[in-house]
Amino acid sequence: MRRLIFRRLVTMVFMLFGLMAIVFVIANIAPGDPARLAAGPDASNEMVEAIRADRGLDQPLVIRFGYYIANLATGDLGTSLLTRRPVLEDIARFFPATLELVLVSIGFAVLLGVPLGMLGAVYHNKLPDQTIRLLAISGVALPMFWLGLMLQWYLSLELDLFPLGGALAS
Amino acid sequence: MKIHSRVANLFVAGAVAVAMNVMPAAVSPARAAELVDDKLYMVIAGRQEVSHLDPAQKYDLAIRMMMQALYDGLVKYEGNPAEVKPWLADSWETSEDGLTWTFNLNPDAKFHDGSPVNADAVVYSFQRTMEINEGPAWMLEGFLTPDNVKAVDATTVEFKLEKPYSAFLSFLPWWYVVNPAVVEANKGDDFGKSYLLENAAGSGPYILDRFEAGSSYVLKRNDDYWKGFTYDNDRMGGVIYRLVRESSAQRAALIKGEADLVTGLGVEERQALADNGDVSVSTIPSLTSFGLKMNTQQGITADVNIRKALAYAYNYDSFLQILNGEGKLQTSPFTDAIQGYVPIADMPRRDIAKAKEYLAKTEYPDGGFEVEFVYVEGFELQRQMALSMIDAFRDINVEVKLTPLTWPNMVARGSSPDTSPNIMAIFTTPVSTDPDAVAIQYHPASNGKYYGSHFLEDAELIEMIETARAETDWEKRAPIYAEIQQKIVDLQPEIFGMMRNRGTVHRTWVKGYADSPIRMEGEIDFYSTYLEP
Repeated sequence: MRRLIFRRLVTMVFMLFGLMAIVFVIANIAPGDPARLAAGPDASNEMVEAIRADRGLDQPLVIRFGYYIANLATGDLGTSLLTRRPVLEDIARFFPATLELVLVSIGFAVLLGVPLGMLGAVYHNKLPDQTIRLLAISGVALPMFWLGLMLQWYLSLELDLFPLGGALAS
Repeated sequence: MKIHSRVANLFVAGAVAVAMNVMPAAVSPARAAELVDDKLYMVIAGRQEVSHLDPAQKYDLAIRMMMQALYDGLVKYEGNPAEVKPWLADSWETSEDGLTWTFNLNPDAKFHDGSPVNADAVVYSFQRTMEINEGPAWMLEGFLTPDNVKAVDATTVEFKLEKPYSAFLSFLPWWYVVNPAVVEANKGDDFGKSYLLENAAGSGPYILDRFEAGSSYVLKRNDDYWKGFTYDNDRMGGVIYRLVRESSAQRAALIKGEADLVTGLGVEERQALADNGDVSVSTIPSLTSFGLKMNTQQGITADVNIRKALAYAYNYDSFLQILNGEGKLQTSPFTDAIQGYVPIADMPRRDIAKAKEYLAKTEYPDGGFEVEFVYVEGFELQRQMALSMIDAFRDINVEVKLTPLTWPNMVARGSSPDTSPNIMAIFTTPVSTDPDAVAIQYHPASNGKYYGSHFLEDAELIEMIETARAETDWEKRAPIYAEIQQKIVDLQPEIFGMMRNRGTVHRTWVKGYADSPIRMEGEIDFYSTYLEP
């Protein structure tokens, strides 16, 4: 058992490494120039080159991958070109909201889905089962973005139960 | 089992709505604006995140909007047409040779901490921006060095340019002055760049209250603003810029009264709101031009006669149809709001006979070739243009290959003449109303930038552009720019398109709102805007 766990852990290290290598290469061969993106559309070519050198983007891919791995090992995920903040900080800032959404929706799923499923099983092929099945199939068939919009419209604009946005605003 | 897990999905959307209410806004909405300590806060719902507050780093519409509220520049753009107005500087003089510019500062100007905005602060800010060499630094690159900005006395700053630059003043509104004491105290090892991501050090009409990255940004009105305000309403407390990333949610927020002003809505969405009596729509033609840039160096469009043929075959009315009339065709490479604009008499319009005449001068007198058209993927407006182009070019027997790409991919393709497509759809917004800001787009200095994907290199034009930008006397500059506009049309590096109207939608109780064509779409100047008490 211990050997199995050990073997799995070792394979996992290699797998993660391979995964990181693939993602890194894909991100780097994708068209688009991160230095230009960071400098802004009007920046002169000299400014773009300065940023490229400053961020090490002028280095060969292998060396950059080396830096990437070394930084990852010390918990440094780098700095976002978009928000200019450390990536880890951004994740820490937004993750709680994501977690909250997931937990609330799992709560809904368990509290409503499980009893309804049981009800369906008990009254197999009878009216309750058929009603629940209709609900379930509608759930599969309705596009999420549409349903989301409709819920926003009905719950917020019509019933005025919730504000439309601003969960993170204080 | 599978179906039941999908049922769970059904409730996710419901959960989203519930979760939105888990942390309700601390301040309860009054009529529309937020009310904080009995003061009115104007809520703006916009789509673009504010990534930092540093005047020396990269700018975009959201950053510029915050800058204009938190900081002051020596001068400021206001009005329609946009004019450079005195701001921190009361007045200025230029030397005979156009090299020395002297600015006299308003002695009343003070930073948010009460210290004076003096000449040293101005010098410090310009030097900082040039040394960091990001953001607006490109505007004065090659014309100004850090050593050539000097404080003559407490309220006089002198700039000595390397060579005369007539557009100098027109770029200064984007060079904001930071409080040196605050930046020095938080300098770190990066000249205060990290500190100014989420902190401000300015003297502007608003003070940063809260910076909540990715959600909202709260600014408090600076009641002691050294320049005062243009309106009389002491209840105006501040501005909340809230991110609402979907246009349908923006519209709903405006109707429901959760937002007082929304930015970035499309033409149809604006027109749909126009009937609502609680809402005002203000539209103005923007400085932004939309053109179809052609590769003048490689491929079939390297031949000017092919470019002319395409320009005469294009159906210009389709621009306006697609925009429901909310636009105006360009009558010069310069948009109307650019200083020195003159309408060009022989600006190409659809004329198939003429198109065929030009085609006859090429290797393909009967057409029979294909051009590639690259545009932004998922941008409905441009897709419709592409379809109309297929139709129009068919009349001269030219096929169009459509290549929708994401914006970074488009920029990458346009960065070299070898990869730049035959035709590429580009919106361009100059940061200055000086004609040089547009003329330079047709100079090799712009090669590799998104608006330089035509790679135009014409010796005569280059010389004209360089002469005009070095000339300080407007009387002498103006005729050169008239010639430049004609010359660019003759060279036809692009199918000159249109100026799209851009609009802002706000509740009727928002007063004093004034748009200026120099601002980007969605960039609001808070200074004169207030809520009815």
